[in-house]
Amino acid sequence: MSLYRSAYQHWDGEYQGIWYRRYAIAANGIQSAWANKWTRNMVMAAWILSIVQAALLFGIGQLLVKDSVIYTLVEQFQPQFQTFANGLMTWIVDHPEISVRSTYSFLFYFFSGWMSTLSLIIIALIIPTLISRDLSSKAIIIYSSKAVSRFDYFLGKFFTVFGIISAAWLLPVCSAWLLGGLLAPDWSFLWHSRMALFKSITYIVFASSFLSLLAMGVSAISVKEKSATVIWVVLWVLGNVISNIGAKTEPWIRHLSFNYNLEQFALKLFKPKAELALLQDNIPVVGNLLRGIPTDRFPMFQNPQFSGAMLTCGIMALLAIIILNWKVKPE
Amino acid sequence: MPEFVIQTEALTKKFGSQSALDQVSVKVPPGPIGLLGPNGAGKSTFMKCLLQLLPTTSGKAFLLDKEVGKVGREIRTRVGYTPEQDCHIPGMLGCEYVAYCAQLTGLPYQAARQRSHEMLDFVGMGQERYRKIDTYSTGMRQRLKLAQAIVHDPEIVFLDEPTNGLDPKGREQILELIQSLWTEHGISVVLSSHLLHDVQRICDQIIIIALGKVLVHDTIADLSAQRKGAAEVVVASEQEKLVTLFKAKGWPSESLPNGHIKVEHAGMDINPILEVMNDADITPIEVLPSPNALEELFVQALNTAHESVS
Repeated sequence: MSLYRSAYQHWDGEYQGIWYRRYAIAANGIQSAWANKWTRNMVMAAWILSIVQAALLFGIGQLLVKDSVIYTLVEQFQPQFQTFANGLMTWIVDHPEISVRSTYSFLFYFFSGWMSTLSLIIIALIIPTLISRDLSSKAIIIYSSKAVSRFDYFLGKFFTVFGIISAAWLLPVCSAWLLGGLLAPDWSFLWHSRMALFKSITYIVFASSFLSLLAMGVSAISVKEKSATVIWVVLWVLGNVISNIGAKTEPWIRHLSFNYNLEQFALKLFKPKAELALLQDNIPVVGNLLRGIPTDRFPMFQNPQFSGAMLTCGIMALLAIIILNWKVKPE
Repeated sequence: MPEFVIQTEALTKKFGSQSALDQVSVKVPPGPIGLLGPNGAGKSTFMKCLLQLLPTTSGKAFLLDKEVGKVGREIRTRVGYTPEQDCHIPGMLGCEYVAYCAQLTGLPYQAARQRSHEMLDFVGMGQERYRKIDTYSTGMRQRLKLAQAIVHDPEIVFLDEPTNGLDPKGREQILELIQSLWTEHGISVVLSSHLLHDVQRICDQIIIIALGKVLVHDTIADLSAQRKGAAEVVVASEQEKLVTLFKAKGWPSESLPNGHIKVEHAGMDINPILEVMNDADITPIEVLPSPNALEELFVQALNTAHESVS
């Protein structure tokens, strides 16, 4: 108890607008999520992954430098490859729009898989603090009594998830691209790899938005914080299991996995099959070697089930909205 | 400040077939207003309908001259609310929580932080504001709820059972704070309580609700002045003789189960009763004036609720 009771004073300042209040909700959500050390560790892991990606991009760039470490090593161990390496380098220099773009596209595609898995883990960690906690503690009543509508509350929570996923996925990918471009022997790499970056950003923004909405829906299902995490993990794992079963039985079943649907969107966007065909047709010597890849064995070289994936994503998002509307009420 | 802070016209709220509010029509001028009634009378529902926490079934309601349901969140920058139940955000410090509530109403970050400390001082919270709310006692939580309700400087504040769970000292302190909101700072207070004492202590006006209906809406002063002209007389012996004497005077009287004698002498003054007793040489132990209209109405509300349950 304080020793004195201060006098009440009226507030004569100006109230901030609605976007400020939405920002306050998002910032508070991010702060709560960040308090969990495992969330911090996972975000750190994502940044380490981005450094690995930047290192690989640096390695690819070194193929263009005649006296680089890579060529020295090749020459040292396999002198007969020197001629081949010189030929390859000449081609790369002559066709950066193919070589750089395709290589970056492949690399960004692979890393998007890893990053999305990390994001799913991060969501599993933050999902209890998202809406479940507000429902279990009845803090939702406090939100409802303040100058924010339910929509503002949802938007704030959406940006909580989106913000954390951005910190763990969008920013590391952009940093990897920038670092890779800056460390490349020629800064034109930044230009030639722009499409790979654009595709990555498009994919991340779509995946983050979809996953944020889904996470909110799952978080609203249960008022018990731990249950929300369990539901998320079960949906994730079960979806993957069903997807694998569906691959051998009924193909449409695969769409029950949100992970599979995101994968199809990535395939549509990054077009690894088309990029491979481009390399097969254009790279001298290596192109012939690439033709030996059994593309039918790898899901990444199959045609994406884009329409089905988008339809199912839409249905899942709609379900999440229905759950939010149904469960998140002050009474 | 508008002429009426609250206006309702046939406000009705139904949960299924049951009416929680039944055609409630009131016009409440600014000031401290008590919402009195037994548990389940419809007090909280009335507040929640005004705050748009619950949708109304029919009727109209105006809060600070704005029609409820037609204006959105902006009206809530002018309104404060302390719910009956605990509804803090787990894991937050007390001062963080109040500052966050201020931000939700649109106060800039720095101002929100500064004001949160001012409000916590105002409600009498010291260093405990730096502790997590989860560790707070009931009294601290009640103070915190009050702080978050007034941190954005509202024009009217709704307090739902703000003294629940408090010890007598804490309760007096909270009531004193609430009283000062209107008397010193001009903030209208709507105090919902099932405790007559709390309402009498700080309110000028009163609305008694039972079974979703308004039994009475008047000023406390008026209701307190309306006495029925009855009294309870406590004597050590000769109760029957006294009843006979009163009846002989034409005053309806009866012996109560507790041994007291209830007499309706149709006057505000108890001297005529004392004169009768003096003439009969009966010494009174105590003569209690009749309960005023406020108390009677409250008892009536309780009885109404009780009858509906039984």
